Amino acid sequence: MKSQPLNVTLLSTGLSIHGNVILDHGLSSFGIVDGSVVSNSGLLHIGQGGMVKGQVEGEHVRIDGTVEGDVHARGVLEINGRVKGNVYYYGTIRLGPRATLEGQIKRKSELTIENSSNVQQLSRAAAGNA
Amino acid sequence: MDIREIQALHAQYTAQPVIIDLSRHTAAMPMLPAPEGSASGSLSARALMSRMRSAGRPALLALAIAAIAGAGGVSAARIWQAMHTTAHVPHDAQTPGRSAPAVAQQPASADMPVNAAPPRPLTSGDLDTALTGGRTPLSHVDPKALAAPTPVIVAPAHDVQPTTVTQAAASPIRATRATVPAAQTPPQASEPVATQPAQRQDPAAARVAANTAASPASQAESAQAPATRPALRPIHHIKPHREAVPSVTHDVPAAPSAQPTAPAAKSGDVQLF
Repeated sequence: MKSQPLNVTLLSTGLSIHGNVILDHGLSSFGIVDGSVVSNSGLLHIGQGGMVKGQVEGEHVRIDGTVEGDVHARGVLEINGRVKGNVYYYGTIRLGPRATLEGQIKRKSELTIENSSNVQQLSRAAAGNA
Repeated sequence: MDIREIQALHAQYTAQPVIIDLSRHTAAMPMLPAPEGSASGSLSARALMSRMRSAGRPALLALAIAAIAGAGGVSAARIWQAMHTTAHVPHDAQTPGRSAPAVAQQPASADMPVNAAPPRPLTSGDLDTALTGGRTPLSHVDPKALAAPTPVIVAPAHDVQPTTVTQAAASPIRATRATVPAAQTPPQASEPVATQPAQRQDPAAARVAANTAASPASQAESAQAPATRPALRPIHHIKPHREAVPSVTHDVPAAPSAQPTAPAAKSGDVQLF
């Protein structure tokens, strides 16, 4: 069985994205994303100096920068930065020495879709665009 | 943070694919022991022990039955041997060479059943070798000893029967029938009755003859005495009859000179009178 090559998207410093970023592999963002970032697999890494103004959702989440929104992690969650919002995790959580939390931490046993309104909004948005 | 560190960081969280390499795993596995390896010895020993435990009680029963059967066989063999020896002793005695004495023995053996039968009835205690120390009463009985005396007894049988007859004849009741025992002995029957005193020569008779020879007057009576009382002398001296038999032929020629010899033997005593 041939091992899959490491597939990682890198958003370097000096990059600014307005909108949502959706990807099926890992991400390292050192830029500024004005929107939600959703990663299906791999590590979603918000590096030091990076900033996300929106919701962060991924399998494994490591936050060394700043997130202004809710954080959802299905696996490992490591926070060594600043989070303004609620933190939802399903696995383990690790807080580093430079972790700053402004919100609530909730651990859930099951993966649920909470923001169904967002899906509707997306469908509306898609219908509006069409 | 350079790209290498980013790759290393992502590599930590990358889901490692599960690789199943059977050939590599089987090659890395240690050699399994053979099915019939060193454990076979202990396994067989355990199996044997379990079998021994399961078969212990039947084996003990079988051994007990075998021991009982063996003891019974041994005792039966001893009984058969004893019966065989006691039953075949007369057959052994009746050898072809001894057919005539055996025929003559039958009436004699009827008079002596003690020789053929054990001294006392056979009991189970006699067959128990443990109590008697391995020697049964029958072991003391020698079949040959039982067979051997029988021919020897035959000869006295001839003497016993005449002896009883003669003793019966010697009774005072039959004193007048002196010719009856003489008639029963064929060799003596042919001889004249008057010669019997001469044939029955013995020390006592010689002494009587010497007494008769001492007086001439009684000498005439001594000549008539054998005629008058011939039966009393053989009756009283019937036991030395066998000893006198060889002297019969020796004395027969000397019968006429019986009277002269008597005074010569005790001449010294006679002359004292």
